[in-house]
Amino acid sequence: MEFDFNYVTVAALVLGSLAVLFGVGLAIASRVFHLEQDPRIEQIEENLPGANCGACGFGGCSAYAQAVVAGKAGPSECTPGGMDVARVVADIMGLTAEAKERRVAVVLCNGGNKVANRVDYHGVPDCRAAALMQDGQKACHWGCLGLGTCVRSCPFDAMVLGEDGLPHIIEERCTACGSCAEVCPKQIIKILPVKNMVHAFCRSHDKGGETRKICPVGCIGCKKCEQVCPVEGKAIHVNEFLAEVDVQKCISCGKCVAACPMSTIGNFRLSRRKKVAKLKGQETA
Amino acid sequence: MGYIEIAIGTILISNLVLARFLGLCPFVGVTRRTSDAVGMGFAVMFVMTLACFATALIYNYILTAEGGMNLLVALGIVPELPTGGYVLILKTVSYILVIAVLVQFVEMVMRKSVPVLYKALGIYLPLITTNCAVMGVALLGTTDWNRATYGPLSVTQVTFMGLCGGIGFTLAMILLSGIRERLAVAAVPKVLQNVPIAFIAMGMMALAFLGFSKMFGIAL
Repeated sequence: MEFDFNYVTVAALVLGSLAVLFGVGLAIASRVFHLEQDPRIEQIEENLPGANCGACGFGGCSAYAQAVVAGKAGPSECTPGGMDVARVVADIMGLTAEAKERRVAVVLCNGGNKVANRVDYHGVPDCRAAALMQDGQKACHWGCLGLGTCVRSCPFDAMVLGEDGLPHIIEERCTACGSCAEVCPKQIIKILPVKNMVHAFCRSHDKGGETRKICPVGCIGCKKCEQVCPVEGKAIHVNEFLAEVDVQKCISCGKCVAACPMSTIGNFRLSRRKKVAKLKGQETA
Repeated sequence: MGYIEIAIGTILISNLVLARFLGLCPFVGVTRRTSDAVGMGFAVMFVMTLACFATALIYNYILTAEGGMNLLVALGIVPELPTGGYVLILKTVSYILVIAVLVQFVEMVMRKSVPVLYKALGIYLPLITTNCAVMGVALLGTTDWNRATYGPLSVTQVTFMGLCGGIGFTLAMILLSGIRERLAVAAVPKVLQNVPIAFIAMGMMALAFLGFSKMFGIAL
């Protein structure tokens, strides 16, 4: 095709008139099909993290924004956003944000590879599937199956399946959205306040002797922790052969950690920083 | 060219995704769950039909005189059409404009009048603006199909072709999402998990669809 000035003018004319036509058409359409919507919904949505994790209990960030404006939800429900987002949302709504305790996911099992397999499992590589088959392949009916369903469910890449066969939380990234706790068929992951340093890493209600046979770090219900607890009314209780920390009362003194003969009770105080650095290195490697 | 031939040709023989390799981004991105794939498929089907209708009108009445008359000549803007019309210089750019505007308009109308459908398709509608399969089927319907053998298509035939293109896209989406849902619980080696194994599945599906080529002697 040889160059012809006529082509240029016709092209400009046709496209220009089409664009004007469409522009006017869209402008009229947006007027005709205008939908009344509270401008605050859009404002709030812009300030939310946009991860659509559902930690607020609503189906995504957009649904949460609508719920806030409708008065069905408070301004500080967004866990991934934390206090910063809560303040902005509260400003938009003319409310005051109340501080929400920072929480993280905690894996309450120390078994992992230390617990033997009862059977050789070759099924679907998912804890939920394994748990359907006679409570899973592990000797312990209560503990972690180590197939990493929780790790895959984490929307923030805050979990790593360690070489010890247990999932580990990268607490800096954890937003306490609860996805992992929800998918775990053994319910060994709990969302707990970050200020609590001491936890009993076991969920087994088996009798002491049985636990001792299958797991070197399982709770045998000896009640030594209960005896040494200095808190009035005791912050750790043994219930059906399982020690459980009362996170409201616990002062994280660590006396029970020293007293536990099975090293079931653990302390995050020292390890918290080191662990994060180490696991981040593992992930990039 | 009958409607049945167009249907078989666009859905099976020259399937937009598996034979012409158009619209691969939603094919990989939105096939993790069947429900999402179906939503995306129907949104694409809807937009393709409308886009084909609009672009066929532009092609037949502005770019060429195949519809019986040409608007530019009729309005006295140009004395006569050059040979081949303005297809070469205006086709791509005007189609892009039409499709983008159309998607915007459809989204607006749906939001107001069919909120249920809008909620179901909501996220996928804006994505379709940049879906090359929509542009592809519009180009195929007007210029790029086997014109030498079958001659030009009428506006209704092009619109029907757009609908069939959408059906073919939806079919491919549903097939792959079914495969991927099963792959998600299979013991796939770690290096192949998720997208890599999906690529392999896609390749095999394309090979299978190759079996349809030249079926009933149709070659679009």
